[in-house]
Amino acid sequence: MPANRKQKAGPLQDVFLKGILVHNPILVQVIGICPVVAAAVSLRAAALLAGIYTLILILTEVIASAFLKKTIRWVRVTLYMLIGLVVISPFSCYLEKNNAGIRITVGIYLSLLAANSLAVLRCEKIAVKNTVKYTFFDSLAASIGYSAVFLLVGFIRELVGNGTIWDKPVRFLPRASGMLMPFGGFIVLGFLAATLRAVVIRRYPQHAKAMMIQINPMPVTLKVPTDPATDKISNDTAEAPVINTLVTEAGTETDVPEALENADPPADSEPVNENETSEAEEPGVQDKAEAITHGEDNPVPSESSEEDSGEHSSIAEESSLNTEQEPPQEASQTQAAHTDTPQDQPEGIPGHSNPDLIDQRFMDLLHFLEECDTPSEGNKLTDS
Amino acid sequence: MPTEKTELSAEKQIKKHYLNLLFMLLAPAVMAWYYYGAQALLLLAVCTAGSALFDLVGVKFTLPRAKPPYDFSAFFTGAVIALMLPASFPLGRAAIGCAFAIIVAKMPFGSTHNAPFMPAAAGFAFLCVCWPAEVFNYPAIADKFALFRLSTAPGVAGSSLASMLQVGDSMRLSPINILHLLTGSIPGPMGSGAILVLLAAAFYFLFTRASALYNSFGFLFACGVVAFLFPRGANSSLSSLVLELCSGSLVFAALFLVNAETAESPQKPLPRLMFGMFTGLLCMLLRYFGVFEEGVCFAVLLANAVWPFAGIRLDKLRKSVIKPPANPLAEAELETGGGADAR
Repeated sequence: MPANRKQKAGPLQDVFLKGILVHNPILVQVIGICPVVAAAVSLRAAALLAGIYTLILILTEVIASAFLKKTIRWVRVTLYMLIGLVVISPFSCYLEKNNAGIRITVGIYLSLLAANSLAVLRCEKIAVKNTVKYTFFDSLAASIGYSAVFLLVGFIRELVGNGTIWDKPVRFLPRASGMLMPFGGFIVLGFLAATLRAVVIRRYPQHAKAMMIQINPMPVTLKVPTDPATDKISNDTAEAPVINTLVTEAGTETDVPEALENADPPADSEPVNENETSEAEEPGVQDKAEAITHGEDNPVPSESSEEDSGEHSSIAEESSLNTEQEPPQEASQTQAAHTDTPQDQPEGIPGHSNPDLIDQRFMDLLHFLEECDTPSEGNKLTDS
Repeated sequence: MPTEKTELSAEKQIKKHYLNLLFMLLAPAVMAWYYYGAQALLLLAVCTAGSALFDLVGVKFTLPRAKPPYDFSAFFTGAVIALMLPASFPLGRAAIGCAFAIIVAKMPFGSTHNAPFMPAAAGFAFLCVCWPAEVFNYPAIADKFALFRLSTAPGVAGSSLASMLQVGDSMRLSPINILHLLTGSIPGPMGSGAILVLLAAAFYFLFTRASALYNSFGFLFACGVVAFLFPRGANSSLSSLVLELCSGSLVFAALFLVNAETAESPQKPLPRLMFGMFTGLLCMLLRYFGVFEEGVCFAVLLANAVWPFAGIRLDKLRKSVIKPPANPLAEAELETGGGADAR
């Protein structure tokens, strides 16, 4: 697993392409959008925030890469914020004394740049695992991507909302002051994100998939005991394929492994994950699966069908879905077999999403953080 | 799997639905013309034509090769925005509001039926936020008929009934007052003040799309209950009920905004009723504690945003209260054989 987390070293232009466009911090990764939405109401304020932010990000990442690789993690994170504060404090003092207007415009968001989540994330994901040179270029690319969006949003909102560019009046449209509110920032960001996606799909189609992967949820693997010889579920524990396809497209397409389709789950399986995984997407997915399962076209004449609808894994339900040629008695037997292990099933309202879904998400996040914490070798910039 | 034929019939139904709505909007438009002259018609024309134009341009820009079926929803959006505005509202700004409704609230999602927010409510809310002084300053109604006059009296702040209620003014109801309220001959939004005309439109709705009236009824019921229980100013409960329901665009919104078919709008009668009541409650909260005198468009947008989650919770609650029979076969057996044993 750590091998997958390694940053692949690539040519310099690839680093910049990814940092600015493909993995744009704001428009693709949606990190650190608070100052953009709230404070980027004019080009001047946006330029100020973007400049300071660039300085913070580059300094923090380079220092982290050079000196903090062997520091304890929670100390490292604290130090990132301290570095940010050291950079921001002189600017803040200078602006308060010499340019109070812009200081009021940027407000608390200038100070909050010290605790920017993007800096912490990039330091932990990139800086402490790579060389200083690679980290410098990576932070530079990310800063350019972040600053470009910052400036663009500030420019558009100032022009539309205030009728000015860098405080000089431009009169061609009536002032729509609503664009200076945070919702205006969200709207501009949304359109910019759509535009960026269109540009990448058209100009760099090889990176389009990477953009999609960035916004997809983390894959959740399901451990199902299978016997490789017979391809049937047995008592041996093996890792089943990722079931995201099943989860996201329950109503249209099911990539359920045959082992899951044709066999009953054992008593020591983990159906909790299955159920919660199936409901981790949108709530309508489970309803869709139910509608198909208990629909008029494919009735399941099982005695316990009402009870099973929410308590059992969607995979089991989908397996009964996919075996349309299977006699109804067999399907009912399959479901009846599932009711034999009620202690393994999560409690919840039948046919609806589990209220403890947030716990599963939290556990996934913990797993993700553990994986991030595993040591990996540093990368070297191969091409300059 | 929907066949091509069923898809075509669904498209035709959507088209017919919006044509019905446009037909219903004719009556308030005529009243606006009657009260405010040709300026009202001009505003209506600019909004409807602007919305349709932005819709066509947006489709050409985003889907250059596709030919989506035209459903007249853009005309409906423009007409609703226009009829909720004062007749003296600047035409260019009205067009910007329509552009916002179409380009921001509708086009990114494909169509009105796929949009999470009601485009007309989004457009009107944008105008309220950007130019509140123009949106809530209503001109006086012309003393004599001037059907072809292309100007109105200047808008006056605080002249509408909703603004009087907002500042705590009270009004004694008399037959004359009530007649004025019902016919819309008081300063206010140009097309949404004539309550009697809107009730006639609701009657038409009863024969064309009766299920949508659940939303409207729930909305008006919630607004009425809040107005009756918590009258503003020195008004009595009954006066408050009448004045609140007749002020602003409440009845108009109940018919044309609250029961709009968006992506997450409920379909069954009970959820429709609950959605309407939820929107009505939000609307009255915004009226009582909000900045603007009319908060119905914000209430609709909030309800659109919150309902997908609230609806799931309410549905869970309903199903947990009304539990299905645990064993249908056993119950069936009880009805046949078991019943004989019991006897």
